[in-house]
Amino acid sequence: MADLAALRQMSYSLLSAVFLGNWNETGELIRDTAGEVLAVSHWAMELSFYPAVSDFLSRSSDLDSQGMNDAATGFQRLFGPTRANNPIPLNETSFLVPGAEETGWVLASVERHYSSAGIESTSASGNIPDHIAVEFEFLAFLCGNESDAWSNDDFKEARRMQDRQRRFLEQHPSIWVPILARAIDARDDSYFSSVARAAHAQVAHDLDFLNSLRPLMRAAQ
Amino acid sequence: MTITSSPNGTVAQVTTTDESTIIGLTLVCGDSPVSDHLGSMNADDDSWQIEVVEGLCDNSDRILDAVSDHPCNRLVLALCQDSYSKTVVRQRARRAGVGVFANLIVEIPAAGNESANKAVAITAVRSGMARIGSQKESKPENAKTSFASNSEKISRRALFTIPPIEYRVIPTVDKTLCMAGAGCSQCETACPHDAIKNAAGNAIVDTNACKSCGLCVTACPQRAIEFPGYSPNEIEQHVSTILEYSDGIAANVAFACEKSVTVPIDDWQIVPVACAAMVPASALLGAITAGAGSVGILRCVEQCSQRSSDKVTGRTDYARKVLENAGLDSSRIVDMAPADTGVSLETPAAIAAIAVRQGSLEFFGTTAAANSILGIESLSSGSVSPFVHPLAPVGIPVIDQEACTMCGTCSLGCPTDALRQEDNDGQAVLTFDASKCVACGECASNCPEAENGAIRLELITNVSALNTGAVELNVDGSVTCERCKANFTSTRTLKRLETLLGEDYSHELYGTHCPECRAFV
Repeated sequence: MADLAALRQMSYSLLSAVFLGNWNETGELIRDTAGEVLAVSHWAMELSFYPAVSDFLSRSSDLDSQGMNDAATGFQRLFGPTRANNPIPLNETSFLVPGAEETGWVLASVERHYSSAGIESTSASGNIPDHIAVEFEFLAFLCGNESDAWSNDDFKEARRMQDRQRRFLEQHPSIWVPILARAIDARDDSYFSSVARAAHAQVAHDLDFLNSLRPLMRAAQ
Repeated sequence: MTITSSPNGTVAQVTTTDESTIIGLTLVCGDSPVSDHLGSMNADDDSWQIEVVEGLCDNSDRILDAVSDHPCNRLVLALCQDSYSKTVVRQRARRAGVGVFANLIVEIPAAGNESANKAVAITAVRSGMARIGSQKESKPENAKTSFASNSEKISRRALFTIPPIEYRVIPTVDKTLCMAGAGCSQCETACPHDAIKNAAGNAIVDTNACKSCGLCVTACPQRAIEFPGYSPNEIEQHVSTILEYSDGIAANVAFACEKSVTVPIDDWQIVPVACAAMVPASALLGAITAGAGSVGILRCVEQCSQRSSDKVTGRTDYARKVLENAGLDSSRIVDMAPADTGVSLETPAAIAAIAVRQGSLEFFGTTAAANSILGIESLSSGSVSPFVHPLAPVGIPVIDQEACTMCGTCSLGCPTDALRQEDNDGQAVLTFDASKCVACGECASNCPEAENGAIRLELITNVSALNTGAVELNVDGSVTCERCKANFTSTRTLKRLETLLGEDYSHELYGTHCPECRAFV
């Protein structure tokens, strides 16, 4: 369980870094980390999310300097802030009906998840709280805590971290990440298609896995 | 063909394809008396590779080696009957990197069954390859995790390692095809577990309530339910390939619940389904039409949570009635008893193969039932005499032309467009195309004048109606909006409104302008 939580932590962290789009600074780190994670994660092959995530890891670890330039260009083309390109938004509230009253509720809700886990208000620090990179980094943080809890034989804390992940996944990423992934997949058939599929597979798997595991965790003596 | 040796035993490579193009791999257990024949069969498709692996059933870890040598995204495992663990084999396939639902187990004769029919085994494997090859990529939401552990007795220590996992398939909905937005709720009605709902025009699946029975797949007239492993196109492709390779004697096709423990593979070609109750009558009739000798349904040995018994009995009874009324041998439709009941199945009578009729292999969807019945008629020397049956998959709405107000509600609720109300030269015309009717009864249940007998659905099978195309059921004058000139209602609807509202009725308000333009008046 500790290894699975650690793998999920790395997966979310890498996806978060990719969706930040800061390729000049993080491109090489993404490539190297993806290669390392790929090398030690084959044990997870029987899990349903792994084919999509391993494809993403494999493509990321294969990125040479040209590949990173292409990824940076692709990022601008898909998500860049130019209206002419009809960019795909990367924040949750953009996927609500335009002008929907829920916008404020969504932002307040994600902030509440962050603060209840002990994380400073992200909007105060200049981040967009409902950006996919921020939501995924938050999940990575929770997965990391879960992994540590398992490693420290702290069953209660592991269950608490799983509950936090489950609630957050249920209320936020699982609602809009599949829509985002389909939008990216429809516009891109190379690297970002693989990124989108991995993000979709990871979110769908984790919510289902944690939901299915919950009765066992509660019944465990 | 080249024969090479591998650590797993003798390998027969029947294709010489570049590995990069291989998408499918078939592994045959070398212990089976038919393994040599399977290993030397022609895959017919360069994208497939076939290997015979000694001791595959006893040691499923050999799947990992074989897939490692020949990476693939579709896997067929031809395993000796009653000699393997389905759960373990599927886990190994996943561990080898094959997608959760991208593998198919085909049972072949086990050691000792030396007299087994080799041609039947070859057809079984070949059709399995065709089936899994036609599978569309599954979505992450299609996989539902289930743990084998007993939740009441597990210890905390045990949960420090991941409990053994199995995956069930959960249906997803192709929103581009789904008609839930137009009011269709066929999947919701069909689900025995209340696991799928039409919520504000969206079909939503409750993954916790879903039992993966596939009844929603059968109920959907638009083929909008995605159900990897048991999707309509996979089942149709499977049967199509079975019949395509029948050699002289027509193949017998048995749709078998995946939980059936033992299946009679010597006399029947097995087509796995998620539940026997997901097999529509159109599949029974369609397979006969396409060239099958006999067609059976094999139920599971468990107490079926889908209450499949009535459905299976009703559908087989209906299909037999169609054959009877066509003057054909109705015993060609077989309601097969579960293996553990001790009921022995008779070997079906041999029937000469006919040319496969590809067009008739449409078991699911709007026109499947009508086409299958018309197909049976084409096999008979006469016609199928009309009959009424409570589980008929086709029907005809009977309209009382006086009671019907031509409001059009029945056509709006019809999920297949069998009923249509359109404007034609200033007249509202209600038409019905029997070939598109799926006997769902939405027309009658939605009709606001049903209490007055305006419409009822007669569950009649009438071939001449299926052949006729759209026919007129009722006509009335249209009422035109004075502002936008659109025809917005019928004169009878207005008259009915006047009767209902009495003194409150205002012709100026209701009878001169359409609802959109009333605000401007």
